[in-house]
Amino acid sequence: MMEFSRWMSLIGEGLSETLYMTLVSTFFAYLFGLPLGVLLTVTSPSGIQPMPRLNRVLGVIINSLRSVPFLILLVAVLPLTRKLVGTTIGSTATIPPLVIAAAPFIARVVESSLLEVDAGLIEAAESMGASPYQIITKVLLTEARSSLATGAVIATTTILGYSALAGFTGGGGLGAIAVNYGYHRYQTDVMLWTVFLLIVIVQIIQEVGMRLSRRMDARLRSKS
Amino acid sequence: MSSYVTPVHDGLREEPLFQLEGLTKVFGKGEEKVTALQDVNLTIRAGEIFGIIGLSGAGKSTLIRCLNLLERPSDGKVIFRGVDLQTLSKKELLKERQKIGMIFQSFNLLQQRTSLENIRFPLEISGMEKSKATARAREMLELVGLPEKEKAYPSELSGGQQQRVAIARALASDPDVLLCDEATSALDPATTKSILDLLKSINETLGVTIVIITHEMSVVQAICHRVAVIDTSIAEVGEVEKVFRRPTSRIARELIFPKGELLERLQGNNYLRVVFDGTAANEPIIANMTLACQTPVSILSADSRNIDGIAYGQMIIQIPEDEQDKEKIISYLISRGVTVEEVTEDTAQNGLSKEGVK
Ligand SMILES: Nc1ncnc2c1ncn2[C@@H]1O[C@H](COP(=O)(O)OP(=O)(O)O)[C@@H](O)[C@H]1O
Ligand SMILES: [Mg+2]
Repeated sequence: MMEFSRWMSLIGEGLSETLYMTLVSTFFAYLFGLPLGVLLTVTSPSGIQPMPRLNRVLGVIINSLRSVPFLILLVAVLPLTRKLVGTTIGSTATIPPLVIAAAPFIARVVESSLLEVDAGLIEAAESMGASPYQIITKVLLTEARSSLATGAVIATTTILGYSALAGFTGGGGLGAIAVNYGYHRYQTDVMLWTVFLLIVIVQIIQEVGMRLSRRMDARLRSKS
Repeated sequence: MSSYVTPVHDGLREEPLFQLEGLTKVFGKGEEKVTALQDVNLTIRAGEIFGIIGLSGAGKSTLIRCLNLLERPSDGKVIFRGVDLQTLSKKELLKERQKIGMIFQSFNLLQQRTSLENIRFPLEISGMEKSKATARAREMLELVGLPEKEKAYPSELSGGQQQRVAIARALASDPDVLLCDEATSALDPATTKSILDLLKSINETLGVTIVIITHEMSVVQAICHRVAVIDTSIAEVGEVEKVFRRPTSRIARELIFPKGELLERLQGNNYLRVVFDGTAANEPIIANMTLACQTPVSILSADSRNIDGIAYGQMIIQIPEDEQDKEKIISYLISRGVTVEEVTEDTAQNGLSKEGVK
């Protein structure tokens, strides 16, 4: 058994690295995934700006990226990672593969949220002379905001899971601790603690996120 | 196409607002081709309340969506205030749409915006300054009688209230015309009446032209000046009274006097269809007839409607086999100013003949 203070600082460092990887990756993944999801929705044959060919190309790219297992992607993008970050180990180095893996996933999550928006609302906006851009910002994204928030919770927890996996290839965070102490050194108690912490983080994100999502949905206001 | 236009001499309703010329809309290709509209010619005049009635699938929604080019016609022209809408650029079309308000059966309010924010929506789109837009939106809420619901979300409003907010929203940008697609079909009769009353007063006080799509005769009757009966093409157009009194197309007769099961029971020639077209005075005609002719008749069906306080409608009566009695009854009825028609299976199916007695 390790000395308690060393133990705490180890876990504390792992925790902060995990949060860092997750949040930064989620941010960048949305930076690409959100516009991509919007583009997928509006260019679909039933969308507000149908562009069948572009839509099909985007679909194929997204599906291909999504069907590559994350561990393989992690290794495959190493050259790109080195170029962007300067190194292939540590928590920052896991961000590029996390973003590449999560962005297409997020695009699909965003797309499914936007598709939930009642076609009647879009028709009403069109009848008022709204431009496609105005429909995207004032109707699609705003009407779907609660569903988008739910999607963001799912995306964040998924990225958290991926970030733990990156521990196998030299990434940091709780995943790396679990791998180094639990897998390589048979310190099962350390591994269990990291797993427990990961579960707690997921629970917190889930709870807080879903509560926010419900609160921002005006449809849930009770009839007075 | 102007053959449909019956002139109205109150000055207000002379100028055409919409002219549809040879409007045709075909959905799909090949085997799955559906012709929703076929060579529709129609003029809607500025200031009138124009009804478009038809059975489900007759092309009503397609037609009204063509008026603001939400639906692109396959062929033909949509001319709004003298401008062929299909010649406009995208940007110009968006600008024109601000002059064409629209409301829907399902209200289509933005669920994440309050009433006030919903009404402000078209003003934001046109780039109006926010404080001005808010003031205008408040004015509109006042107009539709919901000033206290400014902060309410659609989920907190009843159907009738939601439709009022939708009307306020559609009127906020000061349009020339309000298109209503089955705007009252989701509402109960009392709420329907209050919404129709509101539309009527909007037409009268603001001079906004109103186009109403419906499958309900009662809606047309309640507020429309003129009506077009549609069944992929326009079956007939005219003043509401005239169309109701003397529907000339089969589809109009079907809508005005639903056949029902009665016709299946009719056989032989000893039935008469008696049509009241408002010219006969308020007298109990059938009762007086039995007294005058001394022959009993039985009433098989009666379907009358009240238009501007005058009864229109039809009645089917069974008369004696005796030829002399029959003659007597028919001539009595004609003398009272009603239209009489012998009903055979064939004429029953085809409704009223224009000539009356054959
Ligand atoms: N987007 C569409 N694609 C294919 N067919 C359509 C579409 N919209 C309407 N139709 C068809 O056109 C016909 C008229 O529809 P619609 O205008 O909605 O009728 P109404 O409003 O009178 O009930 C129907 O047969 C309907 O199935
Ligand atoms: Mg319809």
